[in-house]
Formats: sequence, structure tokens, C-alpha cells
Amino acid sequence: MSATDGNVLEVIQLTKTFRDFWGRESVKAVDGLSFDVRRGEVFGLLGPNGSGKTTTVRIALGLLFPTSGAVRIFGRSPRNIEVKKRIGYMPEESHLYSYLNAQETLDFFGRLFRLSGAERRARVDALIDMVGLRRARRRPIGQYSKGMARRIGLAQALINDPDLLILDEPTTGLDPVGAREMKDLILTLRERGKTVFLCSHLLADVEEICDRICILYGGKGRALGAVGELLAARDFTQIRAPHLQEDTVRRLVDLIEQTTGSKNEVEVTTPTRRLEDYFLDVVEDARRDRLTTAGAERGTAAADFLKRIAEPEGEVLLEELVQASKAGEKATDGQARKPATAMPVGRDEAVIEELVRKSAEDEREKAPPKEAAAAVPPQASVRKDVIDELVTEAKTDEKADEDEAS
Amino acid sequence: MRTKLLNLWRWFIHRRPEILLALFLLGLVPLAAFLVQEALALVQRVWNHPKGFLMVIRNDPWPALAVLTCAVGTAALVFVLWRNWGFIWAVARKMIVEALHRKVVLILLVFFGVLTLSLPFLLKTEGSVKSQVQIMLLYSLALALLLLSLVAIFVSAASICSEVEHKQVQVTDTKPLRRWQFLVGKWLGAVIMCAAALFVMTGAAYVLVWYTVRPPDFARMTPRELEKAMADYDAVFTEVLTARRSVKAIEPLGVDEEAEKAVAELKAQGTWPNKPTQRTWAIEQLRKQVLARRLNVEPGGSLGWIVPGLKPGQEGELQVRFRGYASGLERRLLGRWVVYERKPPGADGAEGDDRPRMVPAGVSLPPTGGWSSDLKQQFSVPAEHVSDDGALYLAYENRSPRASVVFDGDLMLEVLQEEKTFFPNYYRTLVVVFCHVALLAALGLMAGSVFSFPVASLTVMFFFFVGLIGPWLVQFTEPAKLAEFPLMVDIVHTIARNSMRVFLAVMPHFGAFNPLGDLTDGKLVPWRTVFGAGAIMFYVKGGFALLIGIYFYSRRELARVIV
Repeated sequence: MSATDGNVLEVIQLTKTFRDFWGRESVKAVDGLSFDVRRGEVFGLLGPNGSGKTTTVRIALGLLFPTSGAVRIFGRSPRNIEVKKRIGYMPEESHLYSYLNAQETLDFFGRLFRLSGAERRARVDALIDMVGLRRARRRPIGQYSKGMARRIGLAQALINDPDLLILDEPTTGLDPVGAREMKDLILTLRERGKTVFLCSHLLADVEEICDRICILYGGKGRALGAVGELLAARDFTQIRAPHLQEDTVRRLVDLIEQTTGSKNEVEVTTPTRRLEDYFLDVVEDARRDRLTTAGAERGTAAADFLKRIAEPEGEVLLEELVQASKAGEKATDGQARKPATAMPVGRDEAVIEELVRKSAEDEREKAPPKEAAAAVPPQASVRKDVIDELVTEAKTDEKADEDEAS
Repeated sequence: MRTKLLNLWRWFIHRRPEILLALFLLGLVPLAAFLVQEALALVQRVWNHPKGFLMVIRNDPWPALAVLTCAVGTAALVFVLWRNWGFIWAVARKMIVEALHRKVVLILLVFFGVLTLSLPFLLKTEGSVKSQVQIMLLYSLALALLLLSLVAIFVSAASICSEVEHKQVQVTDTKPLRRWQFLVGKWLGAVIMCAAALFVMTGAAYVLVWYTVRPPDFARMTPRELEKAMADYDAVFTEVLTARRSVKAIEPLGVDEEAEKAVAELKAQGTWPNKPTQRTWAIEQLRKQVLARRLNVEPGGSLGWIVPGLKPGQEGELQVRFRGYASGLERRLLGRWVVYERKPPGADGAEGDDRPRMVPAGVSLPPTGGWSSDLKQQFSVPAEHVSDDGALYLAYENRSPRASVVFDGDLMLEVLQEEKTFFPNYYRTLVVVFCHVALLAALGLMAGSVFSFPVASLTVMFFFFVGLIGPWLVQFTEPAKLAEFPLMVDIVHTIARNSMRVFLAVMPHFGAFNPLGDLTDGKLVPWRTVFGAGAIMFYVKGGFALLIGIYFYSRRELARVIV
């Protein structure tokens, strides 16, 4: 314990290979991944679908066993009972007993922590109040909406007042208020010295609350560090400083200052980029390296026919993703929508939206939608691919899980 | 007032699992009481005749072994439950609450109620109260057994499978709950639920039976009818709603010696078969022949029987059963049974005889037209004729002018003596049924924790059906006759037969422990059966099934996902 005092969770050269029924290697989900989560921080695990996030989390929970390497929580195996007493886990979907009501569910989990009757009742009441489900507490969870079920999922994760909270996609399925509350809660817990380990697609959320992040692609860690550092570092490479002489830079700055006539603007625009751009860049880098990933391979096999069906869905999801971010930039919105119109339309709303947009712009000279898609700059189309993958796999991931289970 | 009632109702709803647990424990109280009673009697017996007790154990160690297994198993089970009660009860409780929300038990009871109450319309009986009661008992208990087996095995298998499939285990498993505790909790939940249902069902059947055997309505009957009705009414109590011990007559002496003599003759003739299996069969046949010769009564002759081991000094009647075959074309046995009492020498004033004498004490005449040949026949003998050392002496006097009679050597002469009242017997039956249900629950868990949904369901179905037809299959493994086969075929047959036997021994079925036949026949369900069922079905088979389940479940990755 003493050696790992600062680290609550350590992932050491973790590799997980899934084998099929005959023992043949089918998928390498996690490949030599190493990182650690320090006490009292909020750590985010990011990556496109199929990059091994959930597998890592499940290994950390003892639900899957590593092929090689190890995960240590509080310096012990995740399957250790003492460890389990100190962690709380909220799954991606609320995998709860749909025939039990909220009170019974929390009571059951409270019993598993050997809480005394009075203590259990007190905590159950407090948690039900906290997640705002007092009036629905006697309804079976099967009748809950997704957001309500996730609130109970959160409540059960907190029933033992855990030192380490593991959250899988904490804000998906929550309404904006719920998402805000969730983020506030995470920050509150951090202030109380608790450690939070989460994986998420909602980059804005991650950027807002995480101290450090790790980005996965193809089961390998591609970037690891504090959020601020990572973003700043990427900015330097983008400037491509090595190719310029110091004089040139000075002259360039001077030139800008001369042209614009204001010094402050130069200072302000330089330092930060949005995490979303950075994330997409990392993924794109990884693809360029032709890194093998089970996710990517599956993705390419299934993408063509799935994209068409999933595209309109994806648009909606992306819209949510963008709305959720406070910055809410129009650029991303437009980028995502243009390709969407180019696809064979699968949904009436998309058609109507397109029509409305067209009628607003009909005065302007504009190419028909299909050509518009072609006219999108290469960078944007590449990003679109990445987003497609994110989106379509979010749909297929669940199906794949079920296939595997059966 | 209203809020008070509402609060009471809420308390009831909230505490339903605890109420079921209490019901279950209540159901175990008679068992504990009976066991204490038996244990005290046993201690007394051992105290009085320690050597005799040792002899009994040496001759037949299986009952003692069964008792030992049950004792050790119960101690281990209680210890495990005691140490882990918080976790195990949490899981069991959740399972019960879930099943109650799903109305599993309710539907089960409704099915049972509908099927039991429709019974009078479904079945045609010969009309006597006795046969009605017998059928009602058999039918309702078999129904309860079937429904509960089905529920136990499916509920337990499905609860594991669906939790893995719907990923609830992924949450539960991150709590400080060991996986074996999870499985044992599930088993306990299933068992408590089934036991509570069994309690209600068999309680209802019990009430129904007592309701059926009301005394006849005297008012509208002629004396003749009344007599018949009363006899019918009494027969229910002496032949069904009772617990009678079955005692067999001593086999005639010297049968084995004579059979060996016959074997020696065959060997001398050189016709003795070579193959060992055929030899055992031949010995069996020769023995039967000898026995049949000994149990043959010529016209005008008589045959004496001694039935030892009865309880002396009892009031009421004993039922005697036999089966005889008349020779020739005769379909009736025209003979009578005479009961003898052994008198000490000189009791009747006869002089010069210092040996005890047999004095006829009573006669049982055949029914009008004689006893039926080839069928099991029954007559009653007053219990007072049992001698002080517990023997009953009977003789059959063949009064037919032509036909001789051969008695069935397998049945011999069976005497049924009342040993216990009906309730303890009924309760023992329920204990055996409960053991079977608990075994099926363990098997369901095993299937559920090793396989996922469709395979587990099929496995469970397989277990269930083999459990149903198991006893018949066991009979099939006994060859009816040994035909002459080439050596290879013989070897293959033997291997197949023996592996089938092993397979059936492992499978869950009553086999030798089926108590329903004995119960409805008014025979005592012996402790031997109860402890045998407890040891083999509940502890050995059930324990193994649960251990296998735990082994695989603990080593299983609960979240197999592609990436």
C-alpha cells in the first residue's frame, strides 16, 4: 500500500485478448495500456467506441480478467472484497433489477455493504432525495425513463460512500439539469477527497470536470496527462515552430500587430483549442499510423451499410453533444449537418430540416446537397468519418455485446 | 385508523420475504420435533442393547451413513448460513421480492388451486371414500411436486441467466459480495419460495382430504347402506389415513441349501452354464423354483407362516396381504386362513406335553366365491393375536378339492401394522418432496451459472424430464431375461447398461425414495427413506450441483463483450 499511496488505481501493461469458443484469438481489446489515477483527482478515459474503454473499466471492476498485465485498486486486485467495499460503480446503461422499485433496489445494495437497518434507511432516503426521485420511489424501475434509471444507478453507486467512484458515461441519458447536477456532484466529491474515474464521449463534460485524461485508440493509450497540458502542447505542434526563425516569428507577430493594430488579440488567440478537436486529431493520428484496432476493423466491415441507417440518429446525437457543450460552436454544427444532408435520407425530420434550410438560403447561389458534400474540405470529411464511427458504433456496440452474451 | 392500516399494509408488503422465511422455519418445526423424538428413542434403544445396535449397523450400514451425512451436511449448511447470513439473505430476499413482484408464487398457487379443485370432475373413482381419498392425495401431491420442481429449476436457472444477460450482475458483482454467496443466496431464495408454496399447497391438500372424509349422513340410509358406508368410512382410517409398518413373513427354511443342491446336480450333469451373468440368473431361477415348491399347498393341505417383528399388545386390526396362484383352470382360491396362538406347555390342562402348543385362535374365511387368484388379496386379523415376542402365526388351509395353490415368493405374506398416525407420515413425505425440489433448484443454478440462456434452459429441461421418467428408465436397465449373446455384444451391452445405471444414479429423480406410493397406501414412509433422500438428494447431489455451479461461476468473466 505504501508504495502506491498516491495512486488509487493503477493499470499496468494491461492487455486483454478475447478468444472465441475454440480458443482462437478474435479480438485484442486492450493492448499494453498503462496509466494511473491519483488520489483525489477526476480522471477521464476517452476514446472512440471500440477503443477498449469499457473493457478497461470492466477489468478494473473484476468483471473481466486481464490476459496479461494487471489492474490494482488501492494496491490490490479488483476482485478483492476489501477493494469492493471502497468503490462505487455506475454502469453505462442502468443495469438494475427492473421488477424492484427504487427503495428496494437501494435497500438491496445497502444490505450488500452490511449497513445496519437504521443506517440503510437513512442513506436510502438521503440518496433518493438527492437524485430527486422521492415521488417515484415505489414504482418499479422497469417503468422509469432512462434518465430516472440512471439517477438510481448513481444513487446505488454512492450508497457505500465510496472512495473511488467509477462512472461509465456519467452524463448520457440525463437531461441538461441532471447532467449539470452530475457534474457538480463529481466536483463536490473531488473536493471531499474522493477519486473519480470516468469514461465518456461527451468531451465538453470531460474537459469541464477532468483533471487528467487518457485517450485510447485500438486498445493503446495515445495520450495521457493533465487536460490543460495536453491541449497546450498540441497547440505548439500546430504552429510548427521549428521551421521558423525567431526573427521570422517576431516579424510575423509584428506584421500581425501592424496589420491589426492591437496587441491583445495576438495574445488571446494563441493558447487553447477545444478538446474535441484535439480528440479527433489524436484519433486521426492513430488511424494514419495504421494502428490495428478491433474496433476499426469491425467498423470498416460494418460501416457502409450501417452508416446509412444510423446517420440521422447520429446527427441527433451529435446535436446533443454540441448542445451539451457550453461553447456550442456553430462551426461543428454546420460541419456535421452538411454531410448528413448528402446521405440518402432516412428520416422525415432530416428532410424537413433540409427543406427549411434551403428555403432560407434559396436566394443564394449554392450547389445541390450532394455536391456540397464533395465540396467539404478534406479535413472536415475526415472528421466526419470519425464522427460516423463514433456514432454508428455507439449503435452497434450494444448489439455486439448482446451477441457475445448469447 | 386509516393511516394505521395503511402503515400495517406497507409493513406487510415490505416484510413479505421475512414472512415467507418465517413460514419456512415454521414448516421445519415438526421436523425438529420428530427428530428429537426419534433421537431420544434411539438413545434409549442403544442404552438398553448396545450390542444389538452395533449388529444392526454392521448388517446394514446405509441408514446410519445417511443419518451421518445429513447431520454433517446440516451442521455445515447452518454454519455457512450463520457466518454469511447478511449477504446470503440479502440475495435471497431480493430474489423473493422479485419473484413476488413477478407473481410467480401467486400464479403457481392459482394453478394448483384450479387443478386440485377440478379434480372431482376429472377423475372417476370406484366411488368409495377410500379410493377418493387415495386419488386425491396422490394427485395433489404429485401435482405440487411437478409444479414446484418446474418452478424451482426454471426460476433458479433463469434468475442467473437473465441477470448475466441483462448485466445486472455487473453492478451486483462490484459490491463486496462473494460470488458463492450470490449463488447460495439464490438457492436459498428459490428453496424458501418453493418451501412456502409447498407449505400452502400441501396444507390445502390436507384440509381437502379431511373435508372429504366426513362421516356418512345417517339420516337417509337403510341399515344395510349405513353398514356399508360405515365400513367404507372406517377403511379410510385403517387403510389410507394411517401409517402402517409392513412386515414380511419368514421365508421357509432351507431354500438356499436346496437351491445349491440343484446347482450341484446341474454341475454333475454338465449343463451348468459358463458365463458368470448366466450363472447368477440360473441360481436365481433355481431358487425361485425351490421357493415355489415350498410355497405350494396341495388340495386339503395347509401351509404355516411366521411373521416376526410386530409390536405386541396393540389394539385394533392388522392387515394381511398375500398373492396366490391357483393351479389348473381354477380362478379362485378356496381356502381359509387360521390364526394360531402359541400357548405355554400345560396351559390347557393337557398333560405329558412340555412343548409350547399352537392353538387356533381365529379364522378368516374367504369372501364369497373365494380369494381371487393372481391378485393381491387382503384380510384383517385382530392385533391381539400377536404374541408377546412380536410374532404372528398364520396357516393357510387349502380346502379346494382339485386345485393346489402357489404363493408369490416375492410378496410372501405381508402384514401391515399401524405404527404412526397420518400426520407424521404426511410430513415425512413432504420432507422427501422438499429434498427433491431443493435438488432441482441447485441443478437449475448449476445450469444457469455454467451456461447462458438457451443452453441452460435446455439443460434444465433435460434434467427435469429425466427426473420425471428416471424411475421407469431404471427399470429398463434391468434386463428381463438373459439371452445368449456373442461375447462382444454381451460386453457392449453390459457397459451400456452399467453406464446408463451410473447416469441415472447421478440424475435427479426419486428412484428408491419415492414416498407417494407408500403414503397413499397408508404405509409408513420409513426414516430410512427420509434420511436417504436427505443425504443423497439434498446434500450429496444438491451439494455437488451447487459446488459445480460455484466453481464455474467464480471463474467466469461476467461481462464478455467484444472490446
